[in-house]
Amino acid sequence: MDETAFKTTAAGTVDRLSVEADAVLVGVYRRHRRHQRRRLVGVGAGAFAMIGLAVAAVTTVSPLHTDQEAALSAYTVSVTEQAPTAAVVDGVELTYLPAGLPAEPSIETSAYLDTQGQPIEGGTTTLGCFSDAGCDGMGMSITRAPGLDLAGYLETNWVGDSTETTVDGHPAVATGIRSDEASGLVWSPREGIVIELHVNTSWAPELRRVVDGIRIP
Amino acid sequence: MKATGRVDFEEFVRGEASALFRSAFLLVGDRSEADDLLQEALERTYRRWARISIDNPSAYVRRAMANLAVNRWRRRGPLTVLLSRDHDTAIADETDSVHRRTALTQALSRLSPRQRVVLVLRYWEDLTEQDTARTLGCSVGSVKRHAARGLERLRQMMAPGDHPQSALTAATSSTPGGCNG
Repeated sequence: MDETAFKTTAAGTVDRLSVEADAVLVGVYRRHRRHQRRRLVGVGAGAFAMIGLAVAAVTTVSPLHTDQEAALSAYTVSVTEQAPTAAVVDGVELTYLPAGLPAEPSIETSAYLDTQGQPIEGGTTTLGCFSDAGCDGMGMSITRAPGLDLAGYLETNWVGDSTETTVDGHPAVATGIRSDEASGLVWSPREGIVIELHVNTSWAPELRRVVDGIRIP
Repeated sequence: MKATGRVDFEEFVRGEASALFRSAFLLVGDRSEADDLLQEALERTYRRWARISIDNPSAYVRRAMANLAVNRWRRRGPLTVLLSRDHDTAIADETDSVHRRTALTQALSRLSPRQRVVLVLRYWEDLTEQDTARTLGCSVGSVKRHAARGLERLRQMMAPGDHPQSALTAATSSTPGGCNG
């Protein structure tokens, strides 16, 4: 196939596609309101951090009561600290990998770009893919940039439909991918780093266990 | 077109939505995800629109869609296309050209996100190699490599006589990521 054939075939592929502009606008404004709410939540979370609020270390996709969080936190931290390292992506250690995933991920590091392709100063994204082909099994990205937080990361990344949750007490978003029901979590364990982890349908029930087993030196 | 207020934004969306949507579809290969991608890129554009003017909003949205689509490792291309419903329904007859168009959608889904985005920007959006490189934060050499490899893989997957499905199964998916991939 050459570029002319590509163009002709592509035109034939999409020529009948159209979209209702008003429906698009409704979606755009809904997203914009969600974005503004998220920014407010981010500011609130920052204020909590400023007064040194220690939050129990537990990963939750569904809310837990505080006492449950504390109990589970102690258990999770203890187990994670003692567990051997199963894999490492940009210094972040995983102590648990679902059976069937390779322990040696393919690793690629690139500049952290904004949506217009401009490098964000001092920013890098390292993607670790745990599967034989691409990131079909499990993918984990570590993005580092000065001052980076979850809200800033979501300004430059498209995670699709998401719901707000927490990981280790930090604000997070849980994502569900409509087409294959893969699921993932995106969170910032501390300023300057954001972790995004996705698993495909086969291992979706183990997502939380994988996240619980993450160690950040 | 110079962007300023909300009325202008809505006018812009009404005028460009379908054309932008077609680009989004080529970038992601699925109608619902194309919807999602377009809305996401437009929302980011709207944020800037309210604060500063944008000289060429259409190019701005297309750049945003391309860069959002590059970081699409979290979505699984092949399944997306194989499970696509709307598009399959729209092209239900079995003529050769329809077969070829379906094959293109499937074959595109097997490229790495960066290869696919480069092909769409270069040969659908007609961006120059320099503009494509600038849009994606890559070198011109990287754009050339991705375009050449992308076309070559499409040619292999869409070779006459090959059932697209078997070709797809045989193809390996390369890892997305930096400009050197």
